[in-house]
Amino acid sequence: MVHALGARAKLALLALFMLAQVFAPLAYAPLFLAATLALYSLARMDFLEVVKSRKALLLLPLIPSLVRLLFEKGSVEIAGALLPAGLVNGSLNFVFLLSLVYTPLLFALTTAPSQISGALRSCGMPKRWALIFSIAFVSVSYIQKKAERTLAAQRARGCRRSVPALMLPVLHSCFRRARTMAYSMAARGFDADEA
Amino acid sequence: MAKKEVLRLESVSFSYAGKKEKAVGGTSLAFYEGEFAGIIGPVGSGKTTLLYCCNGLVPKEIRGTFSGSVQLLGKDASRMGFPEISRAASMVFQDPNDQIFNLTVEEEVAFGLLNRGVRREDALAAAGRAVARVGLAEKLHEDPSELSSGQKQKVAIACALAADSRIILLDEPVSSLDWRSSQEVYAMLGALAREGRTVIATEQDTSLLARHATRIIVVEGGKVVKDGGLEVLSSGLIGRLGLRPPMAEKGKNGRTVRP
Repeated sequence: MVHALGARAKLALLALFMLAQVFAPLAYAPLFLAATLALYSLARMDFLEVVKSRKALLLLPLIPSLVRLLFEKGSVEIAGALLPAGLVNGSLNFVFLLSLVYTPLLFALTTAPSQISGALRSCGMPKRWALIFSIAFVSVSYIQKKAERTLAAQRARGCRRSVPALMLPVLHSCFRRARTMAYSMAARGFDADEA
Repeated sequence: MAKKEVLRLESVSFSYAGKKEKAVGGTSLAFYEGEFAGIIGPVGSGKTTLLYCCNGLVPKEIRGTFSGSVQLLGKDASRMGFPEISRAASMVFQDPNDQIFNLTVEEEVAFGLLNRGVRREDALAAAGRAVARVGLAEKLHEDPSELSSGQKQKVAIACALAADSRIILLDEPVSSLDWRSSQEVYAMLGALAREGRTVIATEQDTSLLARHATRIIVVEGGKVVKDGGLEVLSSGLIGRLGLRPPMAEKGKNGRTVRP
């Protein structure tokens, strides 16, 4: 069902869903995560498998939630019990951000880039920007795979985990891919200036 | 009857931005319909840049110092936009991972046709035919990023086939394929040349060219140092440039022959 839905409808629903998430009180975050899980189920995709295959994305909800967990002072009363505010709000924050990150990912995983760019263009976005956004959506998995391969190659050579040692080859590879992709798109008749 | 000229490079020179040495130095070449030209040379000799000059990527997309002229189907390539160029010449890049970005094989192959304004239904139908021709019909609706390197390269070749252009440029098209698939791809390219298309491929495997190409162009230091028939492959030049000569094959009469 999710796969069959038109890209424009999906984009509109996604925008509404995310707006509702952002403006709703944090206490409703589990409801939104339940809705995200239901959407994955409707799309016949295993949410846990998607999370496992894109572990790096987990850092997005994890880091701010940990900050809240560790540094938020005070307490919150839930069902008559006083609980540390950091624990409650940090957990809710994690659930909120998990849904906020993985719902757009579902959109990217179930919509062809040409359809994404078509939907963005129908919302008034220039063709060039629409294509940039749609390719960015689908490049997430490429970057993830590249990072995993680089990490494995570095470990095989006895290198310890290091962010610069990982980021530099991954970034270099991304820039090289972007350049060749631009050549390939031009060779297939895509005119960036015209767009 | 003389064959029709489809591509002409006239005194083409190019240096990449920020570099003094010429990647292509004063090259003049003409290619004709039905020709299967193999471009060989050591790594870094300017083979790929020469291909980029053929379809206008140099200097339109790749910046640097360019001089000379390129005529595609009788038209000045510098005055043609990419949609028009892609109708005349399609290109297969060396690493398919860098050019595939769509979610299905079908969408990937149809991308070029959609850029030309072909109706979506017609573009998808043409994509289906091209994918079937490279033997991946059952993968039509699959995610191309999940395919093997060889299958991805076949998808890239299908993109060029779907474009239905008169000239097909290929940059080491079988570098990620096994021997059997390489033979299949080259046999298909040979068939396309016999249909009247012009195939121009850079290649390290001289055995494949010996079997399928009709013309050999040797490039060294950005310059064409030899341009001739298959006899070029058995000349001393091949060894001098560090290239491997074609492997000897059993001829029909059972004798070992070199092409």
